[in-house]
Amino acid sequence: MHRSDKKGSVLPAGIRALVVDDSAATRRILRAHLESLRVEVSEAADGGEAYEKLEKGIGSTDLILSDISMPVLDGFELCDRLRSSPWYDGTPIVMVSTQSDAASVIRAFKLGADDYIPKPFEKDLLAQVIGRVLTHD
Amino acid sequence: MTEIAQAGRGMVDRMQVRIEHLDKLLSLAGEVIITSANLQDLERRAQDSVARREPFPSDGLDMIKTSNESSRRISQDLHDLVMAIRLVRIGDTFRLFRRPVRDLCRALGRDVELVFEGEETMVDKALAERLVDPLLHLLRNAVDHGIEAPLERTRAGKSARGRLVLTARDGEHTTEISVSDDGRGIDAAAVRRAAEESGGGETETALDILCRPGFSLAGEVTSTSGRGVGLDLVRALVDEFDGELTLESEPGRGALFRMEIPKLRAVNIIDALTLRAGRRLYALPIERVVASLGVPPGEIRSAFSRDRFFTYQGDVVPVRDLEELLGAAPVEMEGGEIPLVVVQGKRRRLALVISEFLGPQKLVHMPLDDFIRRAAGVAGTAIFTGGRLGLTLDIDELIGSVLGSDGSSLSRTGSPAAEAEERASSAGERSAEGREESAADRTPSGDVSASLSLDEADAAELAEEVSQNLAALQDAFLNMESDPESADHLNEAFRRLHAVKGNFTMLEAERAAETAHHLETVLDFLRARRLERTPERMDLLLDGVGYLVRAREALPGPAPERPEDLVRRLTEETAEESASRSVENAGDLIGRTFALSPTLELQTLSAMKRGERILETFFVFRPGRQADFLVAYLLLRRLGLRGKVLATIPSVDEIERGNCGSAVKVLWSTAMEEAETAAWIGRLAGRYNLTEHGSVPATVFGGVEE
Repeated sequence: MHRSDKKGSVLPAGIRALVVDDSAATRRILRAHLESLRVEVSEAADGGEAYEKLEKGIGSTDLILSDISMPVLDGFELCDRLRSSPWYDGTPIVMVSTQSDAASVIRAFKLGADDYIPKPFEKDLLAQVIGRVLTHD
Repeated sequence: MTEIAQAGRGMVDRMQVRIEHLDKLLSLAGEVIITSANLQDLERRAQDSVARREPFPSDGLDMIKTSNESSRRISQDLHDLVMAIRLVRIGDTFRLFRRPVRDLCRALGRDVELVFEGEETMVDKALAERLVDPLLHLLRNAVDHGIEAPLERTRAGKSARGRLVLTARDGEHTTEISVSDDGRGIDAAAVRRAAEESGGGETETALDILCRPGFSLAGEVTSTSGRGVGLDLVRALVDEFDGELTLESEPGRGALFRMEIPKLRAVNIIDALTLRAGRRLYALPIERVVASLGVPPGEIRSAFSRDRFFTYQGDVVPVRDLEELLGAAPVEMEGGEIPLVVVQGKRRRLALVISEFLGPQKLVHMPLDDFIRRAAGVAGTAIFTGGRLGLTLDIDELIGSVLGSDGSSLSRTGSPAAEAEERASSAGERSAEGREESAADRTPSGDVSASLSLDEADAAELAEEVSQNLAALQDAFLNMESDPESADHLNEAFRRLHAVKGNFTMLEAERAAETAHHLETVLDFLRARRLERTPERMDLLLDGVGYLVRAREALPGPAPERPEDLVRRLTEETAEESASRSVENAGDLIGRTFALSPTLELQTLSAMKRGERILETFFVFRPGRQADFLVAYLLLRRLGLRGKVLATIPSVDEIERGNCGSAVKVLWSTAMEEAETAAWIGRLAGRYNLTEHGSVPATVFGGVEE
């Protein structure tokens, strides 16, 4: 039997994350948290914009943090589309949402999400989740 | 922004100008000065003649003729010169594609030689900039779906290395840009067959079909699937420049997409709808005008606040006075019908009250520089017929200034301060953007505060979003009533309400967030048709929204007391079962054994035959912000990466329904050695806040021997 109480480890610098949320305020708060974790941040205001950005910038995103309920293309659809794209079938997707009921969470996982952060989010959890989704161990 | 788009833009924002062009510009400036001096002289002589009541001298007339001619020539030369200065080498654009194509080839296992032809061709900088994305799509399609993998090519008797050619050619009237590959080509018949399933017109060519937005996503023909991705963008660009897109293809031999773009004729000529509002003349880009119509005053309604609306094609459109929007006195009604022009923003429409329509006209639009202070919505000036000066409008900016940046209407309460509030909020929006940029410059702070702390600006912005979303929510309810058949308004209401809930949660206004949650549940039931839309229910929803509006007004303070029966009425609607979860504690869990089933037995046996170890592992984790079932699910997925999960307690089914405490027990098989397994699980501990974990070789099937 083992005991452990160690927190998430320090992230390597220069991870490039795309933050997808239709609330500018949420994007800004996420950006501030992420930048303090030395993560480079770009933003999209909905799934459609995110998909377009990703389509155009293949190879320039290491991680996607996405809201679920958004106009144009919601987080589920974004996940679904990215997982059927040859360029993004392996890019970690973390859902960041107030929708924390089991049905929504599991649906996101089945569509290919890697982890799930409930809103309002805590910086520690953010760091921990990013650390683990980027580890293939 | 992607790197390549940035590079494309950088190239265009600044450009090199050849010295000879500058020299020519200087000499033209000299000619302008001389011509203008001549004109001054002529004006003086003309005044003299008038004063002395003498006929204008004939040499003066000759001079007018000469000045007129040279001014016409100078204008033409200036225009040609500017157009020449705007030209850039297409090769600089082509070069941007080397890396993405190389990266893509590597990712897809293709061997492709990218060849540029006609790199010296000069094109207008606007075109060069706009070509980047469409060309990237064409190149990507060619690599992904056109050019075969090396082995497949060799089998087909082709060279292993594919050839992808990007060509520019300078014609007399057009610039031709093409992308060709020697891949598998496009089977027009197959494309058409695929299109028939999705119902296509018979007159459409294969190219038309490929250019349908999203065609390829539905397409199932292997040799063509994906071929249409982004082609709608290519077609849109070509259309915008009045050009032509053609496709030549021979199955098995390759495909060629050719864009023929007419050379630009003039700068900044716009097709405009001209109109008068008050004493001023305005021009709107005609493609943004949805309708211009006269509306009886009775059709313009007020709702929720003093904001005016009218229904156009089933859509509730906010009505605003154009002059008033730009800071002048409102247009004076001249009796009878109110002339309205409905304009289309990115997402929403807006109806502008004006004085009269003047009709469509081609205008030379002169943008105002950014350093000139201008009202939001004014793009520049233009000379109208008759030589009068008018203003050209930027529709997106105008709508943004009224409805907020995402096109949602602001809620106002009709107080005299409403106007000031509107101005302040649109100014706030601009400064908010400024802040967003400065956030990037902020040095990362070393502080690792555990919880989210909102500064005042964040809170104000969240509150502002609540206002916008509440107003849009009210719009959506209004639309639901006038258009009960459509599901769009209900979905829109749901989305807005959800955003409101999120922001209230972040603002820690719990009562408001909880009320929003109940409302959301009712809407969800309506959406799923588990509840019917009745007037009583709509009233209840509006009551709920009314409470949220009051809660918004109370910010930054806590939400006010709720009307006593509001929550009860809302929850009664859906009879929300207060989920009685069977949360197990770790002790109970460890004692439970896996239920035996033939399938499980079989799976265990075959894992053993593969030489894998069968383990019973349990995890206990610290409950946190992530729900227990979520952490349990994530742990199971992790195990799945290193082995095969055979059974779990609670069952996967229960976990997926959210019935799980902060512990889970797993029966799984793995090819990892014992020490490796222990070390790996040890690493999981920190990542998933495990407080306890342990593994023992499985003993569940006593009868099974190796």
